[in-house]
Amino acid sequence: MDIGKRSGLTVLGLMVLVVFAAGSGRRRSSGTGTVTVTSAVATAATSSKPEPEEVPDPTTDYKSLDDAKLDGNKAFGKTILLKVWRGSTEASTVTLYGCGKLGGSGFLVASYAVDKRPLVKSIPTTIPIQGHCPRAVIKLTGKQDYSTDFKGELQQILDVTPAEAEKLPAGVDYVSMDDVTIDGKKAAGKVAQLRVYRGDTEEKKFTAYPCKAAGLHFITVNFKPEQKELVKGLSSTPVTCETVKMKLTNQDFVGTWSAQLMDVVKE
Amino acid sequence: MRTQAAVSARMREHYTRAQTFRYAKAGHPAYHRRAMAASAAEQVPVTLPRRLMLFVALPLFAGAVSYLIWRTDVPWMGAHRPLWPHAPALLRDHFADAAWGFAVGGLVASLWREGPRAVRAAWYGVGLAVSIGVELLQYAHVFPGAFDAVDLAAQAVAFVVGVLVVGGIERWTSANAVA
Repeated sequence: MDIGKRSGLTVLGLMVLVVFAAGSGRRRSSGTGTVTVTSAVATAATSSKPEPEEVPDPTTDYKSLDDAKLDGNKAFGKTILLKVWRGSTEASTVTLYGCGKLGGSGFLVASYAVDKRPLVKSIPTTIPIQGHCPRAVIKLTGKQDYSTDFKGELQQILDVTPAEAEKLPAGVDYVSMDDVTIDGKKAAGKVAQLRVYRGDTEEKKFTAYPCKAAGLHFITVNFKPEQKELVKGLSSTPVTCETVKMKLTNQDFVGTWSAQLMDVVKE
Repeated sequence: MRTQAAVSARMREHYTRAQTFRYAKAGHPAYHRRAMAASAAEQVPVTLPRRLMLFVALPLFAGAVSYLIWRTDVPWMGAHRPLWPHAPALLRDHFADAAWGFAVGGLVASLWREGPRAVRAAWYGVGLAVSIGVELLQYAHVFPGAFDAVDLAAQAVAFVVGVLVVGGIERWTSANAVA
């Protein structure tokens, strides 16, 4: 192989590696003590402030779940500052995962007051590619019933602005899986229009996975024989999600629903 | 050409036998090692695609798999429960960075095993600059992510290790191919 060809191959290889680095989660992690906060801040007390503002870290007892765990039960009643993203979000609890190095790799389930819900909904559902995970102050209250993971009370959320309520199309009660999960059983009998992709498919039902939902969710969607072609045409990869209108019939488990297919909404 | 190849093969066989005889006669402990290595080197020729698989794709794959093991998110997949949530911080936070740095070193060393010394040196320099430059660009907020001095060190060291490993294996296989 001549030098020119080899040089071209090297440049191509290095470019692929740089793209890989840019896209992978390794670049999403937060560094230790070198993060400059430039995004908006909002807390329960200051949630009306729309302008971005820089605030220093609040004073807390811990800055990592590992440190708190090392103190065992002595950590109960103390506060911890974490950079977080969220998983399953229910009416009064949210699963918070530590982002990168500051918070370690653990998670905890935190309860939150209703007035903090718009802020909770603003916490990203994955580690953001651009920007940083928001900071949260949590008071540790104990441990989970069946694991050594902490539970706590969400006291303060920084670096986010409160989420605005989604505009609902006529005849639709929900356009986000977040709201369905937050309402829980109350959502049964209501109409949801969600972006989903199709999983396992059977004769009369298929599994729909909501796209960009917090936590793990799936909906078992029943359909009529005449809707078979609609179902067949649904995307089966998360890359191309489609909007599906369905009537929620029953909450089987947290984040797991049964529904009746109404229509596939073309956009 | 065929005759020439046959002569080369015979000479090589003769040389190998002579070496083997000399080692065996002297009771040299390297005899068995040489014989085994020569056999292995002949059975699996290390071609460029194999080098790239071994020294670039494999480290990247290992870095990606490490997310499944001790991180709470997997790139392009999202959240998950880590298989080893209490992994040491050094592994959890820096293994993937080091694997990536090793892949950059492996790529450059695999492609520039030969050629003019100055050109090779220039490409090794470019490789090192890329492996640490990505982290430095994070410091300047040009590249996504956050700067971490330990990541920077891990990537630089892993790059050098990658170059040395590929170079070492190259010397080992060349020596055994002659033997």
